[in-house]
Amino acid sequence: MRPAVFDYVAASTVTEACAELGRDPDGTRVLAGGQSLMPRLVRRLDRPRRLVDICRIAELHELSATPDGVRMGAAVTQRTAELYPALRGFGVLAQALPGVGKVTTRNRGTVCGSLANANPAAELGVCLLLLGGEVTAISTRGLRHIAAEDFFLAPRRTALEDDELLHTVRYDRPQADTVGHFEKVTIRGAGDTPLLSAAVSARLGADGATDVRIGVGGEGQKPTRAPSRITAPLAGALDDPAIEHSSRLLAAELEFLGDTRACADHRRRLAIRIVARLLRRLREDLL
Amino acid sequence: MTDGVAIEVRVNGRAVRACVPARMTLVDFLRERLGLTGTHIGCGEGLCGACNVLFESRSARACLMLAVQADDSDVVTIEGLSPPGYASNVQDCLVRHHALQCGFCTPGFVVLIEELLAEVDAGRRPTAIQIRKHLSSSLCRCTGYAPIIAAAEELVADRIAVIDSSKPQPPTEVAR
Repeated sequence: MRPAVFDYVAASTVTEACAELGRDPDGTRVLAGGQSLMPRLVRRLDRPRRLVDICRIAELHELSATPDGVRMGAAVTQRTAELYPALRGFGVLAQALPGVGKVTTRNRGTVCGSLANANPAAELGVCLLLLGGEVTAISTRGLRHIAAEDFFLAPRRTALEDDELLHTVRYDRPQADTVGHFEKVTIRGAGDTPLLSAAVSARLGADGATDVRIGVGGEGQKPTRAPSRITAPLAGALDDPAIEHSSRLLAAELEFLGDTRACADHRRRLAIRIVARLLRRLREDLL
Repeated sequence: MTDGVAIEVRVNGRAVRACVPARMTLVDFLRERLGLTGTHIGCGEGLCGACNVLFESRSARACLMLAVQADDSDVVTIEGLSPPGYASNVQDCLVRHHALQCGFCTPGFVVLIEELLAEVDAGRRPTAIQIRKHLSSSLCRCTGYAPIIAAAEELVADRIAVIDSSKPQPPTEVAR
């Protein structure tokens, strides 16, 4: 048995889970799919006193699509979301989900768990920033709604308090004429933690691209959406000079860090290349 | 934290009751408590896929699950995928393709292929790329992936052929 000793509570209601979290916020971890938490426990990088299993709470299995967006409860697995037919209307999210981790980790790992874990290179966080949306957190103090752009504070750090449970996430539905592209860079292919994830989208019409969005995240750089002063000049034909200019402008603002797999400068150069490539792909969709 | 948690798990169709420490992983439970040593421990950290089992009919890393999480759930291990002493279709096919050498990763791959075949039964028609991506969940360090993928592709194609041949055929020109 490799994890250190802890207590285990299988909560059957959200109220119960919140009460457990409130009792010892610092020493308690929420266990959903466990695909990020378990490797940390096994390596003893984390030694919580207690785990609160939320998978048996029926209300957290909500998965529903409305004209506004798609809502996913904290216990909805990445695989369930991936196979959800209504997800097709969600552009980059539908593209990214089948590539998150491996099928065996997607079968267990949850969408909300990936967000709460806040690995800056994670696909689902970049998609949340690009599409926009909202995270609902709950604690004994009540419900709290956090806008997508306010959710990630730093790599592996979110706006969630220690005693809060990520209850539901909503990804906003893109407009009908929106086209999006997602790409990530890994060293060892499928299932590897990406060096970075990037996504772009735009509304494509007769007068070219409008509402161009760029999202990027990678080690050191929390998932972020490019500000409008970078994306606004891209509107229209998405020509090469505009793409070149914007992707360089964006990369200058990104604060990647180096690790054993790639240095910060490599990630920055990758970001320029990948964003430019995705924008050119958008241009091809214009024709 | 010595008292443990009482669980009831259906393993290979058989209900098992046990009292386990909260920190015991599912793979340790299967191997050490139930003696089902066909599920292997490779890395123990979710990277290699040697410990894949079917949890509620879907493949899962048994090293990244706690035994207590399996309470009131169905687990199928490699031992449950063929009659005792005999090889399953999937195993036969892997052998025919020389898709194993040391065999350490094989139970994990068999589980993945069984999951894939169950999806085919449910109506999915995976492409060659989707089959590769599915199998990329597990690592093999001796035979390499080409024969494993070839075996999986053959099994999927065979399964689709069986399903299609059992469907009523549309009338041909002559019959009309």
